Amino acid sequence: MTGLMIEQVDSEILGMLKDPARKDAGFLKLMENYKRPVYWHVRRLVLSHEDAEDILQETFIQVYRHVDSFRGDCKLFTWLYRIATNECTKHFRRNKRWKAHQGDEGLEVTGELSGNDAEDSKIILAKFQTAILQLPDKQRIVFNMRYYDELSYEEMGQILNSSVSSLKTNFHYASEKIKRYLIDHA
Amino acid sequence: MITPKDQKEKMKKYNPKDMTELNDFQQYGKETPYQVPDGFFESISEKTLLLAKQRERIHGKNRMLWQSIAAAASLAALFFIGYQTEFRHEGNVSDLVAVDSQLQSKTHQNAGKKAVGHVEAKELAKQEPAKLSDAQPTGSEAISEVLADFTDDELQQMAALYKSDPFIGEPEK
Repeated sequence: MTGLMIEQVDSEILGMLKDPARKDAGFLKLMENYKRPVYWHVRRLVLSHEDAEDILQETFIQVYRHVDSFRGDCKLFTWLYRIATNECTKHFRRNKRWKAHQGDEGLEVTGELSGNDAEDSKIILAKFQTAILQLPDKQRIVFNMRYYDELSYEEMGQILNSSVSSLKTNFHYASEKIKRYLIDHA
Repeated sequence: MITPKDQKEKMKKYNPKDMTELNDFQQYGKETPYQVPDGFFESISEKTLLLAKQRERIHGKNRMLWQSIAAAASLAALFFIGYQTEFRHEGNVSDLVAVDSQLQSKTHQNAGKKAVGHVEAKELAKQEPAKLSDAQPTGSEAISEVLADFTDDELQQMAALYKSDPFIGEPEK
């Protein structure tokens, strides 16, 4: 889908969401288009499927309830990502033991994939994920958005309400830390 | 979702340093080790829609409840303020009536004891300055106060003048 087509579809979805008679159909269409990228964005941040499911649902419920307040000054997907990222940040704050939990989850992921019968590619993948999990929250969010979601710094700036230079710095530090981790654990 | 054309446009925005950084991890690919339960993406849309509608209903009910509570609280506050204002007003009126009757009786007594009355009226005025200042002066009060300031001789002279002067009793035209 080209950028223009995405804009057309988004505008159609918004029109449906703002029309009480077509709100439910519009919501289903919105979910159909964005549930996968939003889920994976959240899942890479919170790791657990249950948490990711809760946050995904909360994100779309927020959109359903507050669609009238969407001013249209950014793309629909930018708004969705912003809500989802804010929900993830809230989740981190709520879960005070998150750091410990993160460590356990990271080890679990690495353990599952780096067993005796695991393929080399899976071991490498697990090591890479563990390296990402070592990063501080902001750097991890920035790295994931840039690396996996392939967002531009301008789009990330709109989502995270940060300057481009700050995001570039965060990405640079994150990359350096990951590289160092991979070298140290080679 | 990202087409080659979109990718090309994105590439234009990248500076070479960013590209190098992205290429650093090319060997790891974009795959993640996380698993999703079977049929999760097929059922999540309907489930979320149901939850959203449920939340909307609960929120609507809560909003109505809070609006009712707010309206009841406002009415109670208005009633309380109104009651307080009315009570205070009645209290002021009864105070004034008491002071007025006190003044009246004192003035009547003073009519019998002319010389003493002048002094007592002044004392009474000193005792109740706050109450008197709050009260709106009535005609009888004003006359009593004026008369209390005159001596007996002056009053007698005024009475004689009233009898002798034919123009004093004449109404104004």
